[in-house]
Amino acid sequence: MILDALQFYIHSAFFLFLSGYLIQKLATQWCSQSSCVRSGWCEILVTSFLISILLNAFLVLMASLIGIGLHVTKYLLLAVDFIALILIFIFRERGVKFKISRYISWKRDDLLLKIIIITVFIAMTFQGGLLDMLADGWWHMSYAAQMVQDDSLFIQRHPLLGGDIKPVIYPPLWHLQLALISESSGLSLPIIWHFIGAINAVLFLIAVYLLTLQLSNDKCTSLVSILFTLFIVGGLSSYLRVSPWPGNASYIVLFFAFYLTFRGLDEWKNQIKLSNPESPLKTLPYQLLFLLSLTFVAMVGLHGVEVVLYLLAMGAYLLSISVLLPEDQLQDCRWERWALSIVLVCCLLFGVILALYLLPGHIESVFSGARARSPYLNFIFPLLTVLYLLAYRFLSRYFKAIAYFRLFQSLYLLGLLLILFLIIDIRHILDLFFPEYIGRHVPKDSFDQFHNRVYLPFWDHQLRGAMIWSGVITLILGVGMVFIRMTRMNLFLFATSSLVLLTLTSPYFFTLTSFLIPLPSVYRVHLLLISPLILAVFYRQLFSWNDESLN
Amino acid sequence: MEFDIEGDRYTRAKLYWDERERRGLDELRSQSALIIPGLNRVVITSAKRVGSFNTTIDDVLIYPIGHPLRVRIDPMEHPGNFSLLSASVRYMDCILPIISICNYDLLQSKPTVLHQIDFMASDSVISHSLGSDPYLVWTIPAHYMRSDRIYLLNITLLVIFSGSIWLLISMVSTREEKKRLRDHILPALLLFLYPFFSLIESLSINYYYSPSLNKSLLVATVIIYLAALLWQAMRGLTLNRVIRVGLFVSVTGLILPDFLFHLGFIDRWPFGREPKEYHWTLGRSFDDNYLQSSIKYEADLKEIGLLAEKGGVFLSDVATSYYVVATLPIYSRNPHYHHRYPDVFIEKEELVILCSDDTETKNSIIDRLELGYIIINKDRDNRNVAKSCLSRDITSIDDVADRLYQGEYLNLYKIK
Repeated sequence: MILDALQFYIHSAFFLFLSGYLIQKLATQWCSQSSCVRSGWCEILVTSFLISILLNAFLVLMASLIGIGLHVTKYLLLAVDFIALILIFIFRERGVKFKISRYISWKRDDLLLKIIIITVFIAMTFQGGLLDMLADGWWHMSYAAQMVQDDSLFIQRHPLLGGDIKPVIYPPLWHLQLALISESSGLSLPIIWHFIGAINAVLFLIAVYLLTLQLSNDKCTSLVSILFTLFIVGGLSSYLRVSPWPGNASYIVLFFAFYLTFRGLDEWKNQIKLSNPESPLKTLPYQLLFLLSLTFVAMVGLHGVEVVLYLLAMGAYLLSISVLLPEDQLQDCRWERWALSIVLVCCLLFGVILALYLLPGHIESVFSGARARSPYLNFIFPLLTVLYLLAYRFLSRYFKAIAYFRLFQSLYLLGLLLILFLIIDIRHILDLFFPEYIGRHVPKDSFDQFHNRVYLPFWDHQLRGAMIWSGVITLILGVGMVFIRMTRMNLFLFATSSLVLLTLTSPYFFTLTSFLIPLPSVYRVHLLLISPLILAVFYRQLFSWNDESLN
Repeated sequence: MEFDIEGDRYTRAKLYWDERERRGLDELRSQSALIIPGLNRVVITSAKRVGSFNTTIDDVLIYPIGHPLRVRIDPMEHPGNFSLLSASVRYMDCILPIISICNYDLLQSKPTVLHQIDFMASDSVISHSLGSDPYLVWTIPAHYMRSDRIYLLNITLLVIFSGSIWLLISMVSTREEKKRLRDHILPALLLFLYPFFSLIESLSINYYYSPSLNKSLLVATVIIYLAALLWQAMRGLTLNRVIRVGLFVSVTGLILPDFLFHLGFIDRWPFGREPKEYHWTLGRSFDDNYLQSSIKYEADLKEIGLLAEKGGVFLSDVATSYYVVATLPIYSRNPHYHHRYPDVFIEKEELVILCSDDTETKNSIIDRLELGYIIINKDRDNRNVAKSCLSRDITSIDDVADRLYQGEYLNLYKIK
């Protein structure tokens, strides 16, 4: 197995990182010093992974369309790497210079991070991603094996049963990476599946670290957050052994997309401050925007659901800052709101076009089904709730002007509680703590008192583990911390936690989400309960003994 | 309720119980667990699962067991040998599982009913079953139903604990805060209640489990915490150190089971059906993956790949079906339910027939599924494989197929 491991890691370095790194390096040399966004080893590692898997996909797609076969891809990739190396050599005098100090740092925080990452990598090499139970991972392996057998991205036979391939509707981006490694190394898929868990687990930790660092600007909080990622079952972040799954590979990209969004917004804000604020487009960090668009493509190709999760999370964040931020701070982040709105609209349009192109029948069946019919409460209730939240800003301005603000606040809060009482299923919440029956993967359906078809998830399908007890406590903290300290991190955690709370407990929000995410996968919204970050921020703020904002 | 049983073959053990409110031993208050050859530990707890672990795990949730008056154990479903090495009822209301108060050892008392069983020893039942319905019934003495001793134990422990907490709070408070300390004593003490319970429960999860107490304490903790914060806010005070320490201990107590689980102190996730396999845990090694997956069959699979025709169709148990299709270019007829599509999978009833001696029906099933091969997995250590009849009744397919390959773990048969 040691030789297998070595063989696997050499091949995965070639397929999953090398070409991405070289292209990244070339791009850094190509852009000018001023416009180039500086990156540390964490960003470089995840970006290399992202570019590599997309480049592999492009090459495999071309090879399969032309009919020259999957096995040729490694040679094409070698050629790309070779050309990139030559170009890097030619343009070696341009752009940002390579500095070994960016990779080998003896600073305490960075050293601790590296120790954690290396320890997890070694541990996961042994514990691996091959579960000692019969899970759907084997289906994914058979899909990748079929690609190897058919020597193409477009498989000819059902991977399990050998017949019609119509039932196989799954984004193939991750499977083709596995197929490439298997074809090139000669290793069987189960062995690859075992070892690739270590790579994905480490990349996920790094993505969490990057996001926390960007939001908190505090290395200690970021380090604590990855420790919690390792240990906390709540939100199911510690599912490291499931990391070879396509969905979990997509989680890496999702967290990296969050990071890129906030990094891009920060870079842009700094640039606007330094340069002419009248022409903000000139200072847009296009490099990060390009990377962000790549993450969308990767998420669609890996699993799909994560694009919607991104959309929902950033939409909730935008709503949160619009409603909760004080007037003076709101003015400061007008560009941020503008940029986020643009990204969300583009993302939504991209999603709609893609869905109409790829799944026209599915879209039609969803919108003609019982959950989209009269009395349309699955649309009306969530929409009214959002409108009610948005109305706060405008109404508060009015009532401040006529000096009835306190009365308005009380009435508004009362109204909000009433709305929550109407749209949240209390019995469903109680069922989490006092289960009466055992559920399945597919959500339970029912009719509400208005004869409107609604759905809610069974807690038993992973959610009970995700919620009890660390999940429940981080949900309360995630929603509550923003009212003690109004930071961007707390706002983001408030937005995502509130979203999880509403989606998992309100049949209307859950059912509406099922128009964006396939019904059996809506429960995955729980991933946006980012328990490790919440706990890291909570402990950090709890021990700020001398912080006046808490006293 | 917990018992250790050692059997000599695959069977199911069953537990019946009755309660003060619902008398009588019937199927409504019963649960069963798969027993495989060797030592099995069967644990049945309130609203939890029946599991026989050590060698295998069977995830079945059951109704709350309550305080039983009578307990019946059916160790097996057929004549044969078995050993009941331990059997006890543990009362779950104890904060600390003091054995003399919180535990009733069934093997220390004589069963009131023995059916088709030879009773051999006083501290363990090493027996030969005479028929297909062996069982033992114990009646639990009435005084074990009294809860006053348990509550007295709990109150004593809580008083000791509360005193320690008061001391801790005094130590972390400033002089100014100490003056106001009396305002915080009650909420702060109560805030520590759940974390303490949680810690004790996590450490002793293999011995007792109390979901109702757990839930009540959590709800109380959260309500009191919120009330304390509101109280603070109404008095114009803010988050002082006492509340912060209270919060710290509460949250840490709540997330402590997560850490204990990953560090290997808790064998199973105590709050619901969270698969342990999805999580890394200290002490897990590559051996777990090796023993419970197809990695050790690599040599056999390589040989089968050479012998089986590309694109051929085979039948095997569910686990082996996945192992094979993930490695070789042949196709299965026995996937999981959610991976099937019409007409090309084996029905449950057909599987039973294939494991029987009915050759004629077997042939019709083989024709319908267009089977070319049968692969038998002989591995007894892989629990994903061991449950299937296809992996056990190896001899029953000799009448319909010829053996092409006999490996260390896998046998390949070609349909005649």
